[in-house]
Amino acid sequence: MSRGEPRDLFPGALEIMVLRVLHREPLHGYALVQRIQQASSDLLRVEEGSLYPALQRLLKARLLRAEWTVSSTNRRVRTYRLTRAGEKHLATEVSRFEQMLKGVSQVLALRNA
Amino acid sequence: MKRLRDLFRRRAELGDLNAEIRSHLDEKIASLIGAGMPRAEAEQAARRAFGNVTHVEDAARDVWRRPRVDDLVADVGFAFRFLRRSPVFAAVAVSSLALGIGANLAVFTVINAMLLRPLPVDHSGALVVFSRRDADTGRTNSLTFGEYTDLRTRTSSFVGLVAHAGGDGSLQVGATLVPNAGERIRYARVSSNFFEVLGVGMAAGRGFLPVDDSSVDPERSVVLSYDFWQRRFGGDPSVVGQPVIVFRDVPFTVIGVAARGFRGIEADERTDAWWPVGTVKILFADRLAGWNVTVMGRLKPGIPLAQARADAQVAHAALVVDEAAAHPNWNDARRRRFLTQRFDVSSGRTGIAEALRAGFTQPLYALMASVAAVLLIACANVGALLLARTAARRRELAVRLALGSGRARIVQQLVTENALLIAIATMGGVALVPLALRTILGYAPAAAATALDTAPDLRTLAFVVAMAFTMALIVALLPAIRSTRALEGALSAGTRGRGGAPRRSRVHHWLLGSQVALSVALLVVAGLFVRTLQNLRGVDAGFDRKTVVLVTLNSGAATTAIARKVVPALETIPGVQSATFYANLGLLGGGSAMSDCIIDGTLPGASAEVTCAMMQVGPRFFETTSTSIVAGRAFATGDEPPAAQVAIINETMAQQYFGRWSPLGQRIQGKLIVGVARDTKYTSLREPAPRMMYTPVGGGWTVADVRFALHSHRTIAELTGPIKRAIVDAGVTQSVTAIESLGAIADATLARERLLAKLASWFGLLALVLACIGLYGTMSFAVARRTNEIGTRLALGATRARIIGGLMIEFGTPVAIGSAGGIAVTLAVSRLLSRFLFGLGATDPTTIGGAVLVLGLAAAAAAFLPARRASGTDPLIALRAE
Repeated sequence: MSRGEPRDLFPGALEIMVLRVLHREPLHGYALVQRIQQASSDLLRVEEGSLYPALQRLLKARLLRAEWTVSSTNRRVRTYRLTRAGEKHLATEVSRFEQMLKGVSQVLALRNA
Repeated sequence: MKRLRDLFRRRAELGDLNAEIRSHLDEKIASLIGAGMPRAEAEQAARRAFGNVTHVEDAARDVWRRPRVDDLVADVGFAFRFLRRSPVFAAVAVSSLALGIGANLAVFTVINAMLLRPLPVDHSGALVVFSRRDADTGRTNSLTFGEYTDLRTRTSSFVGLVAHAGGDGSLQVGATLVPNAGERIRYARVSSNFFEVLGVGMAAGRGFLPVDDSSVDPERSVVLSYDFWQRRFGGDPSVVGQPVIVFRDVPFTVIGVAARGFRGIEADERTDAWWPVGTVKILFADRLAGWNVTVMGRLKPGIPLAQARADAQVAHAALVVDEAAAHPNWNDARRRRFLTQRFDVSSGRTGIAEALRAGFTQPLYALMASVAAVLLIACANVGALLLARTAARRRELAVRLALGSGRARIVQQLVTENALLIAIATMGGVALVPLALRTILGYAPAAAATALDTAPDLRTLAFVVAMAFTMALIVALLPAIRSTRALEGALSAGTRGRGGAPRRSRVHHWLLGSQVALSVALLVVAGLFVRTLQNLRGVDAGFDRKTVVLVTLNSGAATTAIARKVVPALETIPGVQSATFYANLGLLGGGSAMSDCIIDGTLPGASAEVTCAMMQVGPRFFETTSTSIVAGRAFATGDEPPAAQVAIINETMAQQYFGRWSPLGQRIQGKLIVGVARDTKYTSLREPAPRMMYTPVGGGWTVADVRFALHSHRTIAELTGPIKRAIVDAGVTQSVTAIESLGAIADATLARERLLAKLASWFGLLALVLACIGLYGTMSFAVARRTNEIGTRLALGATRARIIGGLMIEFGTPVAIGSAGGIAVTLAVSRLLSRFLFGLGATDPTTIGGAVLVLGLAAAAAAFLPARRASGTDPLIALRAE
């Protein structure tokens, strides 16, 4: 990750979102981007390309697996789905993430003295 | 492990990233067009949203990157290209290292086979071997079977003791005897507990029944080795239980086949068949108790060697006291010698090969040291060449360093290049081993050469790894570290690189000097060994080596009765002047036992010596072997016992026993001395003649160890057919096992000297060539680096001769110092060396001078060529290059 592209999100956020979305249903790259933007009500701007290094990282960690399939629009696409390890990882990451958010929002909620 | 799997997953998981991204873009464009955007605009928008495709691909690939491995792969590729670009350098470096590695590995393989390889039996570490030496002479005195049975009852530290007596013989397969149909085998007579105590299983049948070998009638049975069973019977299991082996006219039943891979306990022989030691009684009714045997034992679990040794030594001490007491007729000297014998118990893990190990252990380690020196020279050589090359690449390396490469990264690359050299050289060296082994074993005693187990094992593997590792340290790492040390200043210093130059050349001179030193030392050693061999070949043996042919029947098992039939038959062969026979060895057949030879009555000046070597000889012995009689007469008809009791002694014995008194007319052991024969070599050309006494073979005797000698000017090839025919015609059923010229036998006693001389010569030559290559290379690089200095000097008016002279003197200094160092090395080991020399000292000035001269000339030639080339530099070109 040392040479990773500068991202708009903090490190690791994209991976959690990818895992969460794929947990609902297996998707290919393009559909995945659409789903993330849709789900975030277009509040998050994800550079579409940055998705692919993230997918490779998740593949390397064996949290995902991929296979070539044919999409609903009749294209040859590579569909990603969670592995068992991916599901476990997602669960722990989500709870860690929520802890972090909680901490951050408590700090942000400080009233001025 | 995980890293290795990643290596294969990389390709699978990365998939066709490019196709995937294209598909993504197409889908995006299609959806944008679907939303009403014009195509060109949609394409642009899709790319904008995606980001830089190339960067994304790189980033995705980077996920899988393993920096170290990828760098290494790149380095190896680079190193290959680099070596291909300089094929001469690569060839010289690889071949010199490969020769060194091959020679080292071959010598180590022989050492491993002869000295290190454990017997293939259960817990070989618990095996011990008994030995006994004369306190005065250090000679080995065999134990007898009688003593073995005694030791069995007197010791308690051993699971069991086994007796073993190996021999060469001829056996015949089949139930009936056919003349000349025997085949030579190596056999052993063993105590019946042999296989049980050693823990050797049977591939078929059974081992010997455990009986008391000394009293019970022996089984007429034989156990075959797996190899012999395969070779002779094709592994047919039905031969077990059949009487299909005839040995010394006695039929034996095959009762078993020893486990595959077990070749007996002799490291230098492959035993084909084992008989119970009791079978000695079939042939020689009363000789079993006095039969010489090797005794091995297996320690009881938990008993250390030292304790077992003490136990056995106490037992042996009691045994010899009893034995001496049983011989009241022994004189004091004999008694003292017998009682002071040194008894020892040592590890028997590697089996026995006493004669071979006694003769070759030290020479082999000496050869190992020489060949290691050759490898060191090769390493120094290649190291110097590499150093010179990296020096020439200083600019390239400095630029890379300046561009941000880490020093460690550059060292890694240089080390990879050098390690690649070593890897290729190691493979080449390993490939050379079979050839090198054949060469070495070609100089070794013939039996040992075929019997030694030279298959590679874990020890050889460990040796190769250790060797490659050491070379890597010398050849690869040091130059790499050294040459990057001073790089920081290299760019600013300009092409001449004044900064590091003097130090580098000092390293070169050191490398050069030590190469020269080792080469001189090896050349001196080679010279000494070669001259030793020459001296020994020229030594006066006392008998005629050229015209005497020795014939052996059934490996010496012929009796005197047969001999009396064979001799007249041999004398009828055309071209044979005379024939004779003799018993109890001699004529270089060895025979280390000395018999009692005590002078009857007392003589002034009589020696305290009481033993001599005995030889029983047939008629015309001295005439046939051209051994001259210097006083008195040779044996004549009517001299044979019991009618007469006469003897002939040799000069050494006459001198030691009688001094200036005439031995003629004196009596020894009741025999009248009728003549004095010239000294003849007895066990080898090397050793001085022992005291010897000859007696005629008596009329009714049955001596079993008989050999024939005949005098002829014809060659062995011409004589072989007629000899075999004559023996069959004489009605003798025993087969001829050897027809050899006495010269060849004499030469065979020089196996060790020949091995040393030949191999030392090879290694010396190799060292010389390597040192010259090193000198040539170093000189070439040195003058290349100094082109503009030389050019400047030429421009300023220096003559070519002066330039050449200056360079030669500069490089002559390390050569001279190295030569002196080499002489110092040989002087330091001269004590060790002199034990293997004959007829000259280890500090022989001619040999040392010759070695220095040869090296000096070769070095001068190697240095002259590059120096002359340098002196031909065009000053203009040299200066323009600045």
